[in-house]
Amino acid sequence: MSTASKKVTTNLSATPIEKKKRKYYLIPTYMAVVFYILFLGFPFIWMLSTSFKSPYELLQLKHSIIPDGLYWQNYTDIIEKRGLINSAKNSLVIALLTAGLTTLFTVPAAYAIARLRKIFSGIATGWILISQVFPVSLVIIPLFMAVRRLGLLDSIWGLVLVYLVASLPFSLWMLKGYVTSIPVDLEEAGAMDGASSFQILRRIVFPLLVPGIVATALFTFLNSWNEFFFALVLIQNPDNETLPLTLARFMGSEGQVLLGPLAAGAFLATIPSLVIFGVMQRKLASGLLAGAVKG
Amino acid sequence: MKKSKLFAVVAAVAVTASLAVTIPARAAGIEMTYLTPAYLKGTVASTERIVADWNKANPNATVKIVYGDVNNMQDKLTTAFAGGVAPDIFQHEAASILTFSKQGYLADLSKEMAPLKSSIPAGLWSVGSYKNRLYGAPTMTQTYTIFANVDAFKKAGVKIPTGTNTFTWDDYRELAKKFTTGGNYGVAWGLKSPAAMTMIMGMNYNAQFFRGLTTSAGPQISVNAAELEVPTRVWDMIYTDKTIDPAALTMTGAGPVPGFLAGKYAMIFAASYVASDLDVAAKAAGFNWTALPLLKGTSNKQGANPQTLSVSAQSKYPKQAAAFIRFMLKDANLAELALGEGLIPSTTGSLKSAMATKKDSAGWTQILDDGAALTLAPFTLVPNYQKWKDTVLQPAMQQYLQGKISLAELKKREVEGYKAIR
Repeated sequence: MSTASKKVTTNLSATPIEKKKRKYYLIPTYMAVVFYILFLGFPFIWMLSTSFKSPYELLQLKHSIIPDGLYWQNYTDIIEKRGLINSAKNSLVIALLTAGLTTLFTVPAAYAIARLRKIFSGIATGWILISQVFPVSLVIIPLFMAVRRLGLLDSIWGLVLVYLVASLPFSLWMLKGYVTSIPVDLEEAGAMDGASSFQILRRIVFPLLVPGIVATALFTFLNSWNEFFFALVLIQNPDNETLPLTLARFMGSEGQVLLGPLAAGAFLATIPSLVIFGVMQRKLASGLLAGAVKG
Repeated sequence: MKKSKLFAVVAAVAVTASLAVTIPARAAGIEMTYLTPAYLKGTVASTERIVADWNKANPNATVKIVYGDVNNMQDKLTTAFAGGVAPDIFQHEAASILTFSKQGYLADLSKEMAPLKSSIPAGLWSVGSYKNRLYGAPTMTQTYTIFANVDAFKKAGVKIPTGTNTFTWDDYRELAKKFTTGGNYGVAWGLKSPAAMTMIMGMNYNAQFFRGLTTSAGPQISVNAAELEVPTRVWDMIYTDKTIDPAALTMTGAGPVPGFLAGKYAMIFAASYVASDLDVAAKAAGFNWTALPLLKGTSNKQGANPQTLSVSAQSKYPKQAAAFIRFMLKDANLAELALGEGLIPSTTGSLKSAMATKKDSAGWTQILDDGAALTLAPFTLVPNYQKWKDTVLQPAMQQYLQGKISLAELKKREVEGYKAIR
């Protein structure tokens, strides 16, 4: 009997008392879920509300979640006068390229490190860890010089290169864990069935690695999307600015903030990452189940 | 070939040919970069208008605006100088350009700005100078001011203090007591970052903090009664008189504005830029505000740390860049920029222009008048000042004003902290 029909039978065979009990259990569960969603979503809702408030309303002592009116000027200002769309486009291109290239380099490298003899694997992992211990302030000027020598200063490719280098160690570390969790027996079984090394990788390892790849790509994407300091130092031309740089310009000294435009910009900046996460998270979940059920 | 296609081909060839003709002419001109931390809507519009005017008048030496983040200008400039890609012209604060002047990253503007010297107060001119050479042309500056709710004063029957050099710290303390009634505090003071206020207001009591600026041994820190006077008086108002709202201790400078507009406080102590927020409230809801005369200790002097315009020594066009600075400093231009930021313009002509624009506002008139009290503060000439302020003075003052350390401990931290970073 299939799992689905078993479930249906179980539901049908439940007594009215059991059904009632189950209902009572569900109420607090749903309440907890709703509360959790509200808790997580509240800053986002507050940001949306703030983005529609006028400068005067934002100077008030008491704030309501529902704005007095829809002050669209915050949006028109950031789009027409502050170049937010161009910055968002730059950020998106940079983040997608970084995520894509990181994945491309990380998958074979992580596989190799995970399947290497223990001593080599240890050395490689140690090397990765060492590269992570240097603070950004220590490497920024040499990095700046290197990027300049490559002729990539003030360019989107320069930032992609820096983000790629910065994200590779941790991505490698992350993905290596996923590869290690795939039993070697599966690969050996494939080899016994006559599969070549490439076929083993493509047909056995890769499908099982999908959640890891998605998680790594998302992690890299979000890191590049949000990164500020490298972009601040390496980008000079306003046409090449990324979103965090544009958003930072709504903040002045001594805590002065242009709250309305900043909230509008931050709200718009959140949308692409939400959409990408929404699309990718299905892969994240589906990959987890790959190979879980024997046919 | 159809007529329309033929026309399109001819048009394309014509456009290409015309571009080929215009490109060398464009290439003959130069383009300079101008890094500015302008971010307020009005200032951004003014900057763009001024640059557009310049570009129209100087098609062979145009300027391109590069917007920077005011909170990260130092990092941006440090790396840009080190990498040899510094902007031709940039706006920064006087206390922060000293290091760049010493390192030789800035062009000497003394000769180029000489025509403007007589119109800029000597104190401001000195702040932008190093070894008698001008490296930063002072543009605009702020004072620390007490803003008052005029209607609250009228309702309480309290006369609003007026005059110059007469309103003392003791008067202020008494005034704060008068308005501290029924659970309401007389004053709110955003003291989240009290370091700059401590240094600038310290000049009220001639607090020097650093001595021996020109000796071969370099600046030595000196914290005595004068340097501790302002922190002590603020502490007394918080803990002895209980006239300053303790909730505001963790607020930014502009943080108490909403409470002020809601009538929660009769006075707030803040930097003059807050006037632009108050203008918004005055326009939207008729809020009636004014600025009180500068506080007086032994004098009403405040340390000046103006915004400055500098030319990078790496610039290939220092003369044109300096000419652009002179253009920015034209009376109407500078007045417009300064008012947009809520700051006081540096030249006498621009100050007059700003006063004419704001003649109907008593608060603004007072703020613009206060510019005369700004003086050279020794700290702007100390190379490690910025580091000491951020890593030593700021946390020490925060802890002192929050009642976590004593005055003696504050003094100890200020002195030993400076010795450690020298």
